Amino acid sequence: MLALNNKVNYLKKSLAAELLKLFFEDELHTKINNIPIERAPKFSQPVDCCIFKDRAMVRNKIMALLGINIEKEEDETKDLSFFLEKALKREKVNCPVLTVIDIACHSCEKEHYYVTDLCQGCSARPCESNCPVGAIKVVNGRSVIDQNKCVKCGRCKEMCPYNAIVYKTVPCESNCPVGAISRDPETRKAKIDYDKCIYCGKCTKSCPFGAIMDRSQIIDVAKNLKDGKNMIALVAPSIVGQFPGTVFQMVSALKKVGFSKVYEVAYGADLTSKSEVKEFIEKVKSGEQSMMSNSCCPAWVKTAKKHIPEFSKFVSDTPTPMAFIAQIAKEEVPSSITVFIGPCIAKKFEAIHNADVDYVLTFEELGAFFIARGIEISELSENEFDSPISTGVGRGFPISGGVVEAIKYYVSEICGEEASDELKPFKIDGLNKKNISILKRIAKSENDFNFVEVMACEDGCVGGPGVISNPNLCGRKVESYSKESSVGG
Amino acid sequence: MVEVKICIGTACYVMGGANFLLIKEKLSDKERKKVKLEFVPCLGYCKSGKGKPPFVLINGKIYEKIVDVDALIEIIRENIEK
Ligand code: FES
Repeated sequence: MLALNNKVNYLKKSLAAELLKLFFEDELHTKINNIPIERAPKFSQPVDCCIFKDRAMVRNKIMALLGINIEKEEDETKDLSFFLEKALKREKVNCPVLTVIDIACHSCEKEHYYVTDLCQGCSARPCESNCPVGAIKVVNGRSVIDQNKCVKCGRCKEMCPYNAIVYKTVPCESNCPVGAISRDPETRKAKIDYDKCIYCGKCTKSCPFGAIMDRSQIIDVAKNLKDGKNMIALVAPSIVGQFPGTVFQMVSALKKVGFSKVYEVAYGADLTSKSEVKEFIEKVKSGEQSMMSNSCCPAWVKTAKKHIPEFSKFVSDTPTPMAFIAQIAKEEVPSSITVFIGPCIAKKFEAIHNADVDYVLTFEELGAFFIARGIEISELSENEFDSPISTGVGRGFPISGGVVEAIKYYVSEICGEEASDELKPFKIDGLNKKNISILKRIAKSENDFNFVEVMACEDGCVGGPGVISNPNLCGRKVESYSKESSVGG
Repeated sequence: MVEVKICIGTACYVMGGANFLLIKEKLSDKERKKVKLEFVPCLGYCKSGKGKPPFVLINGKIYEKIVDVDALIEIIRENIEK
């Protein structure tokens, strides 16, 4: 995957901040059509082949930020204000949560081995003599690979003394853990197969052209804030360390943005853990089934359902932390609009199927709100969360291993200290092709563990596709916040 | 001595400055001795519309749009060599 900070990401965040700023200043309607030109004015140095392509890129990225399903938009004559209108009119957001920007897609060639011009056409020709299928010939003093014969074993690359042979990948395809991305046979543009997609968002973080984006809900949230609706922010525990200032200054910042209440999803994580432990006692401790796995990561739950059906029966039925806290919010203030704020794209999918969660923002998107409103978080006073205090283990949920810690804690809380030995955990840190095959094997074999924690993102939620901060830095802050809890864990 | 004032105001932090917190770990011991690092609140540039965040002030000169921590280290190294 790409580094956390890069120019694709930068453009997205800065466009989001600009759209929101103009929206709150009542100027978006009149100015939105000009943004692509302002971002790539005449005689400026183009990023892509020319300023016109740059403008088209900006236009399409704005469309994704307005939440438009770009694949479905056929009429290219419509200007951005038309799409803004459309976004402002919608009452609800819908699936799919991702969208492919065909104009940005580079139509990468199929993955293949390629001989670069470092090839010296040497006399030993180790590439040619080591190829098991005779796919390499030297033409005009340079090795050439016959792609029809090549079996992609990589021997030639290994043998070349000049490192002249490279493997050219297709970043979105090779980072998709479940093979959900293919290319249109004619146009070679990327296509997502939603029967396979698990909404992990890894493609959005790997395409160097930014051709796959999640459909943002910033405009939906901004509209409701501007209309003075009663909005409740549900903030995921990985928010600790995403922004400058303290967690409690963050609460004030959210209130300044216009949220009437701020609930901590870490408290929901406590409820999830307690409920999962009860399930563990009923199902695993009783001997009814051999193991159990967490349900809090929606990308993992989807992976089990769609790709490892034999594992599905081991995945817990317990509602996620988001579901628990959203239910509390809606019970307390039935007329409220709830907004989950987290690092995750799969949560957008989960929320569409949960009536208690109205919208989802990523941390990047929330950052755009702060910039648009000119909020200096570290200058604000501190404010308590409006939800009950979370435990240390609830706060530790977003780091790999955090779920196991929480389950361990509640097993000994509920069944006594000695019982915690009965929990035998195993961890999968990040879904990739290799880990998925491990999970497939686990599902069918006898194992010496009985609880499997799976996090779709490496390092846990702190490594999610919507984060701002380095996962290690954020992880350390999550740990110290977790130690500060006054209610145990 | 190279004086480095890293802005960790909201705009700079969100646009990539969050990663600047890694800088201490990334500079060598030798380099660290030659650099005076300071993390400062919003320098005001983000609101003036001049330039793009993240901003870093190095020996009184403002640098803009430093996309990641490695780019910042490069600039600091150039200044050490001056
Ligand atoms: S946040 Fe850095 S200049 Fe304002």
